[in-house]
Amino acid sequence: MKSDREFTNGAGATPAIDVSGLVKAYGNKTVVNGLTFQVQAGVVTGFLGPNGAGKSTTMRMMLGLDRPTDGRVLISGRAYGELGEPLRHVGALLDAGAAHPGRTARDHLLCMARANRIPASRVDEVLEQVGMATVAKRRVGGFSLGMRQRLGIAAALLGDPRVLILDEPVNGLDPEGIRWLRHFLKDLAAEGRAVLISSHLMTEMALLADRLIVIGKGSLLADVSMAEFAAEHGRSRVRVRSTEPVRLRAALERKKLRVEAAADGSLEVYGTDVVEVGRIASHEGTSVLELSHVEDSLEDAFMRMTADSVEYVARPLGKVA
Amino acid sequence: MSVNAVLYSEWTKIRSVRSVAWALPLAAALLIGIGAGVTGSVGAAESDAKNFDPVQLGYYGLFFAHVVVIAFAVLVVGNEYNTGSIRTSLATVPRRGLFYGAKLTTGAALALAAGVVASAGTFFASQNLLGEHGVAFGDEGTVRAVTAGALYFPLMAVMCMGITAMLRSQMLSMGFLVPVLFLVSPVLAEIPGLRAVAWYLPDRAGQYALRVNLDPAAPYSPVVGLLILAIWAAAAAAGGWLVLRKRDA
Repeated sequence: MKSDREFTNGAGATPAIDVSGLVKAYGNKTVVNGLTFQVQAGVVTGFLGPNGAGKSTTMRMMLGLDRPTDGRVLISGRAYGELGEPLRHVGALLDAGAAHPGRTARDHLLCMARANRIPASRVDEVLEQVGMATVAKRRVGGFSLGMRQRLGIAAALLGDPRVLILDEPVNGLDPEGIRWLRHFLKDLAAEGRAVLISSHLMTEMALLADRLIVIGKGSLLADVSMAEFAAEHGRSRVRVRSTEPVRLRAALERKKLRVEAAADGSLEVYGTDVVEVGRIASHEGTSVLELSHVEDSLEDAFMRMTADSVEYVARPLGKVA
Repeated sequence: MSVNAVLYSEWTKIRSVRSVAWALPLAAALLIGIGAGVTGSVGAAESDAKNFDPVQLGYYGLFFAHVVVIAFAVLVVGNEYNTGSIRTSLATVPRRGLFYGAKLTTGAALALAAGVVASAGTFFASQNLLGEHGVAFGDEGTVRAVTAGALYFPLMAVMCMGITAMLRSQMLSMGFLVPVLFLVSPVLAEIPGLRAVAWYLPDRAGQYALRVNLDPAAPYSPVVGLLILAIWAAAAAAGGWLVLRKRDA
């Protein structure tokens, strides 16, 4: 199994992050339930799941903050605690608020840098990189959430690490900041780093991630490339509205097509295209009021996939395709 | 990982937060200032009292100064929990024993430095002001009293850092320590049946080591008093370690 995977990943390289059989239980509540996946260098991997799916808990276990009930996480082949000066290997953003409000941005980074023998000049460098050089001497307490988020990203970059683990980095950023971060993370991945970012928003991931790891209720739901996910889960269909829907439906079904009636009286036809549906309608002699190709957004696909894992939902959103 | 690097990091944490950085200089100033004020104003009058202890009178400000030392210790550890930066800290220094040891060592070393200045400053200022009623450094018990005065700060700091590591919250720690040291300790000392117990409270035991005119009712010698405080500090530090060692951050 393992050799299989290494083979498909090419060259048998050690994965940047290797999660295997990871379990975390608090009392009798299992938050992470046997997760196994790998994160590779050189790509942005989106770690997706609804709120409470176990993303943050998994990330905390990656950093040795929470102890797994079972299983393990290896980073570049080693446990986090055995990395020596870990900031030089892994940069993490866990909680943007986690800085003393009375400390200046620069001092906050300096405290971290010193423990891992990272020179003070590097602190100024990363502040420059995230666009915070001008507020370096200001206290964190006066920062907006977006500025704290940037400071957190600066902290993650301190040791020039090969692996980045960012928990909801987009939270609180303004549109300009989101754009900046998107390009920034893609550049970091292009340099050969592994970038793992969590989110509960599919739309954000669609623009950013090359690979997707989807979890729900602590279990793995998907581990695919973004393109595979789109091909597999974006349900396409033809939408047709006619003056005589009953007759048209019968005609379509005679051609062995799956037809569903939508709430507004139109028909949704699966496994075909507009050309064929148009031909059938004209052959039948019904007048067509609307004929279009419909593709579910990835957000819809994500919602469908995790519908069973969402703890609080009024009614099912649809069947898993 | 380098021990020096982690110590340097902990020093940077203390230095870079204003309230924490100023706490120990303030504690030293309070001890010296109040001692000088009291000995200078009422020292001569007090010297007629039958239990007069010139050294103890000089350390009159300890009651106020040690509150500031406690606040310092609670902030040094509690800031990590209150702001959530404990996660950043442990991700930066995953060896928890190293992290905890460096934090306690840095806090204790700074408290010792402040204690040495405060204790020596207090002794010389107050005895000078007492003039003929005062004692000289080198007189019986004075070297021990001044040494104990210097050690009182770091021992109290270690105890409070340990308790805060156990409670993992500034509010809980201050809410526990201030009533215990301000109310329980003085009140116990006034209740006849419990007076014997009060002798073994950390602040009482530690402060007994600052006296030269010894209390015949004391169940132990001044040096043992300081040791009792040291045992409290060691127990609290160990308790804090047990909590930090196994808890999820």
